[in-house]
Amino acid sequence: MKKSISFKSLREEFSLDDIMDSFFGALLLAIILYLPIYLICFELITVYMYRLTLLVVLIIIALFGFIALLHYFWKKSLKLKNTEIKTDINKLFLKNTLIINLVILILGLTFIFVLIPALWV
Amino acid sequence: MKELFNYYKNYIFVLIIPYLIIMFLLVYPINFSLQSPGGLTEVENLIEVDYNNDKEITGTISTTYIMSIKRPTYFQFMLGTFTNYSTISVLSGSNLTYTNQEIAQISYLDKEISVDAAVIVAFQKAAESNNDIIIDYESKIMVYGKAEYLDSYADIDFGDEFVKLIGDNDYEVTDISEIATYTVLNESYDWTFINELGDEYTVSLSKDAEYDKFGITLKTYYIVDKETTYPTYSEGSSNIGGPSGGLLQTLSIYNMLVDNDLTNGLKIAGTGTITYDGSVGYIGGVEQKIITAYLNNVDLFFMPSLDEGYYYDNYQEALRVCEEYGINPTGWLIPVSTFTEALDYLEGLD
Repeated sequence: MKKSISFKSLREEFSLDDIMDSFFGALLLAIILYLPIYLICFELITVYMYRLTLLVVLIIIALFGFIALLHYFWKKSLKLKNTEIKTDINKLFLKNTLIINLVILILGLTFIFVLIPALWV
Repeated sequence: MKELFNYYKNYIFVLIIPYLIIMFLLVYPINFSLQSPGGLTEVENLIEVDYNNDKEITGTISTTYIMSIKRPTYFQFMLGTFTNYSTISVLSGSNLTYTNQEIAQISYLDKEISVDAAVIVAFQKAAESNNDIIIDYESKIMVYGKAEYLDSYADIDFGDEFVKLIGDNDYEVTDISEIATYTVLNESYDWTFINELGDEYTVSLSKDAEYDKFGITLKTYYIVDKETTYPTYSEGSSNIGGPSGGLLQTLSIYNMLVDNDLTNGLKIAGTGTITYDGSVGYIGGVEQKIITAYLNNVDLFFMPSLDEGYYYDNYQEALRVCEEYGINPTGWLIPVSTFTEALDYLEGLD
């Protein structure tokens, strides 16, 4: 039987409280893990400002990683709550990760080409 | 949430110590100062004069900023040692007593004052050949420095305007040159200031027993009266502080006021403070500014040159930097001591 790939089917298997609890747990763990990476990126920018564009690209990549990690922990948490999930959670979360990362990419490029030249005066 | 943390608890226990060590390196500040190259900012993004709007400016005039990090973290310090472009020094002087926030406040105050000085000098020069241009300004005495022993330290802010102090025999002192003369007989005196919001306040300040001073530094500045000055201009908010862009700001504003285009299609940058009489002053971070300009491929770079025989003269220092990094300064690095010299150089390019 083909597994469903939608949040609707996930919602039928888990209560909203469980989904949110898993999400916030994953968010907290991802933030704790990523905090040094954000600080490293920020401090790299302060010292290597003349490579700003390159560093913004690095931050965009780091954000891709953060979103992927967040979804990984979210998925893990849900699987720990229910080992027999019928929804194809891997595909669902991969799709979600790709969509969010696409938005980050667009915002990041806007930042590089529009906001940096306009704001840095 | 609980399941997730339980699942990873072994990893968390193992990684907690290295994690805390890394965080310590990333957040703990140390008493050093780190300077590294920054970038260029076009003056017309900061100041826009509502005049000659049809005129086409073919090139650009930019100020040069560097990254000056007071009290870097251990990690920033390490990063600074990895590149030849950065200079690390021990934090000293007033920078040691001020917090990073106060240093930033002084820096932004310097920038604001510098922009007003640039407007005054540029408008005055342009007014010599154009009677339509009017520049009006007034002098203000502002708080520029505070010593640790200053009474009411937290109440008085950098940039607050000094109004008066009630001196000996109830003499009202409004001129800073009279402060020492009329504060001899008593222990403390009432000082009146105006804060950033325009509210007047009075504080009682006493002289420190050890230094025999109040612990406050005041400076006289000229602030442009925007109501009566013509043409009008708008000033954007800036996230870069310091007075070292004065010369280039003056050149750019002047270029917006005159009919001909001084830039000749060139990418012009430079550094140097500007004083009200049009003379150029020394700046810090010469090495990082030269590297910044070089990395940004500028066509001309103005550098203060006030005394050829002085080892630390900015231009002499810049020549040494060029030699160190194999940069040919000929026709690119231009020594100037006044705004007029820079102007003459640009006009001579025709």
